[in-house]
Amino acid sequence: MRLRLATLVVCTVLLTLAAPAQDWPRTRVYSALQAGRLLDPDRELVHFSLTCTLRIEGSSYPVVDLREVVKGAATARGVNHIVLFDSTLHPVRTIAYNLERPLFCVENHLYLLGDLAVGNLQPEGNVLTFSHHGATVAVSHVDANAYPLPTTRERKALPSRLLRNFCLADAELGQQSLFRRDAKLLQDAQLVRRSPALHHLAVHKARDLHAPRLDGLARGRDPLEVSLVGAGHRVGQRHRVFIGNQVLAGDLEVREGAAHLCEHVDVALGPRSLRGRGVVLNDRRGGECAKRFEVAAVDRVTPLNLCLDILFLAHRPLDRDGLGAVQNLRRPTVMARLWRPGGVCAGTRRHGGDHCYPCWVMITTIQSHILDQHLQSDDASGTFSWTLSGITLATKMIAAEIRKAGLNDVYGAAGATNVQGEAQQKLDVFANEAMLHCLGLRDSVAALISEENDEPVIFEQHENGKYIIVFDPLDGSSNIDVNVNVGTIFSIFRKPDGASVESVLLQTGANQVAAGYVLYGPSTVFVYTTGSGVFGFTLDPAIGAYVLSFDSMKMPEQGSYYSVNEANYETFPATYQQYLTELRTGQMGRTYSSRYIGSLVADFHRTLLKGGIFLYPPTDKQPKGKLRLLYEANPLALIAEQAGGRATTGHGRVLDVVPTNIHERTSLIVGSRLEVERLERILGI
Amino acid sequence: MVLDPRWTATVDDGLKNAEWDKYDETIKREVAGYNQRLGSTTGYTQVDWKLLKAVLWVESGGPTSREWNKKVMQIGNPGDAAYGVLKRGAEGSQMVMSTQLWEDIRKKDISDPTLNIRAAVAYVFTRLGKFTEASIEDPSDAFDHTYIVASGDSLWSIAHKVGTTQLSLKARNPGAGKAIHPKQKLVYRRASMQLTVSGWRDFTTANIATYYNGGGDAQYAAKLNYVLDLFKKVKR
Repeated sequence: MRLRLATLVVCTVLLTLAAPAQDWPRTRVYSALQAGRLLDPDRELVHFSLTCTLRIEGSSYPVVDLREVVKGAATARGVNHIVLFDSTLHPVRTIAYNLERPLFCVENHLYLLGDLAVGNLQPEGNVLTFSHHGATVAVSHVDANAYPLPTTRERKALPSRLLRNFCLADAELGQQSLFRRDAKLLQDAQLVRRSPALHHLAVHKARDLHAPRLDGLARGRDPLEVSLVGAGHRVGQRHRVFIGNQVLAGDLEVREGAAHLCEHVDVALGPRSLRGRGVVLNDRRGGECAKRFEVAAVDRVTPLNLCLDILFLAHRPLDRDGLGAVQNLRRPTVMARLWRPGGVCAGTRRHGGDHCYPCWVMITTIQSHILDQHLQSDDASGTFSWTLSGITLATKMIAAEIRKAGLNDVYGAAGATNVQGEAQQKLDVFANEAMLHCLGLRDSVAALISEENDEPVIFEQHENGKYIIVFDPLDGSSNIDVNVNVGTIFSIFRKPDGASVESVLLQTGANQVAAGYVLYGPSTVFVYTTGSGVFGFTLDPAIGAYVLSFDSMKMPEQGSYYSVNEANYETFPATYQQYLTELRTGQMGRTYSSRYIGSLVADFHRTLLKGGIFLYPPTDKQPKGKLRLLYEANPLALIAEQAGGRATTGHGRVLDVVPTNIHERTSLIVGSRLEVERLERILGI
Repeated sequence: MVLDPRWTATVDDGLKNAEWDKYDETIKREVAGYNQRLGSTTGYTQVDWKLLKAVLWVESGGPTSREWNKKVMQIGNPGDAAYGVLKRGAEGSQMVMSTQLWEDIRKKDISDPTLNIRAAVAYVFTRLGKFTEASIEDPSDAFDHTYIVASGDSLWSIAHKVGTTQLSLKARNPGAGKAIHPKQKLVYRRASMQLTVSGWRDFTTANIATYYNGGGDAQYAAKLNYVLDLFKKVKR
């Protein structure tokens, strides 16, 4: 008795923790699979579903179950993947599986149907535990009886909602016509007579059903076959697909293949809610399942409101033979999807009278912004977006680590110095490894140059690598001890086709295809340019995504601040001293104030927003300057110029400097156009 | 499970048509090679070549198939993961294949039916093998080497620099797993992370259906069983 009670308590706790799938529409999931190039054109997609959402280090990570079969094979061979997305639906990693499909999530644990060896490597187990923002996965095994089954919770959630609006569409079978604008908005659930009809959100070909694969989609052999797809959003955390051969005025006849597995139908549709609601599940052969469900009265289809996300799929109109005893609807091929009111989706919106589409809160994440930009350019393949996503992922990891810096006892030096001779911080190490790891997994990356590594990291196995990424993983890290802002700076160069990586490591800043930085401050801000404007994004911790917050950033032509380490004033060249005197004495037409944080990214970010000038001039001690050309001066110079400002080394334009080594130092003066031009005149350049 | 009568009628043809046995010698020779080469690995039991012959019949559909004299085992079909895995020697396949076969798969035409069968057999063994990654010290490196930790070093960078593994460094230098310091002396031997065969799944029709077919054809195991039963009736 005590054992049973303990088991109940454990299960209750686990059920409470069970994470429901975030309510992503299938269109978004499908688009994300396409954008991530996860759908192989040589395979036939037979199933995809959003299984559940993991919570990893405080952020949401949707899990998608993706199944394909190899086209053209005499005997179909399955290729199945678990796809882990980040909260912006950008793929983080994929894990191949055989039959061990994902079932549900509890926090950062993903439970599987059977033991899986990730990458065919031992150990194998039925629970995948993710960490490091999905980059690391540990495999373990629990007894199936100990699974925190979500069924109870699902059923509690079932009866509470009513369907009001359906979007109906008549996409062609075989077409991937997403976001069709000809969907009709109905005021209530009902059957329509359009054909051929297949929901445009469903996969473009459905599979025939057989008992062991209840979650295949309906496909072709049976002309009357109709699929009922419970996509698992609210119905349950497990995707379930059931196939019947008719949907007739509220009757759902379950095809013989599924009919003998009554308990699955029961769980999927919630029998308590069905009772008396007018849905009949009928095995045409009159099996046991039919008896169980025929207690319901034939009424209308509306009782299916118990499922918030149900698709009815039909291949072609039903003919007279398929109607059976039901007379009032003769050609009821239907597909319908509920647009969930409230929550993320604010409802449905009419467009041009007959059209409808979900009304989303329009936010632009960095991934969609990059995609939008590059889909219009020559890089329509998404490679650049995929590459940059490595940086966004790494910086989110770094931001999360910084947030808990004081808690994790990671203050202070790790007892080593980096190649620059600076005391190396633990967070430096973490940030560097995060960047190396996240970018090293992108096969589009040919080489990485980090402030923390004395040599470039070249990925010889990345045959298609076309980008060289230069970065300072944690600029100003010595400021962590005093809780002052730090940042990550990056710069991206293209490796020309056919060129060896070594020969193109040292390029002028003018060759940068993108540059940016992340400022870890009161909020985490990501600023980047690809040479057509500067855009700033703020990390929304609620959804774990960088959201566009500064569109087309422009640096004021003149500001009111200058930023320099004045302790070095006496060691500056006389020209710089003269310039600073001008600023202080109002000779630039206004009185300047001094702001100096000592964290390059923070000082630059202020200069970008407020205008003015940032200076790190040569000193007696460091006559060539202190800042690094490749991963500090170059990226900030490109951003400044793109925002309308200027950047100089004191001898000429920063972006024209030909580097001689990857850790080359330079002086840097960057800021508003008027301030920098005045200094250039004094310096005679 | 009821198999499609059209399919059973097709393979029933194998009862009277000797063309279906065309690749017997290839399969026998190939499976014998695995039995010999892998026989000493943990958990390995001798594999009956007829199981692989059954895979051939199911995969190909027999001599009337267009691919009977080409990609008879379907390896190399666009979108098929197996060919890429074998070419890369990934997922443990390099451990089970002979060096010659790996070279042939990388360099020769996979449409050659004999090579296609050999590749498919290799993939079956790959999928049914259990592999573990372990740090293996180079047996030819019989002496300890020393390394003095420099500023900025990490175990990963040291291992990378001197050609050993973090695991080996930790094993030979107790305490190094927690922290290392500049000027600290570390002992190492050359080592690398390598896959080892740690066991085998049973060579059953169900496992072949699961791990080789990946659930693409839900009747795969039933088809294999049907063909194996058929072999008992073949009198040639």
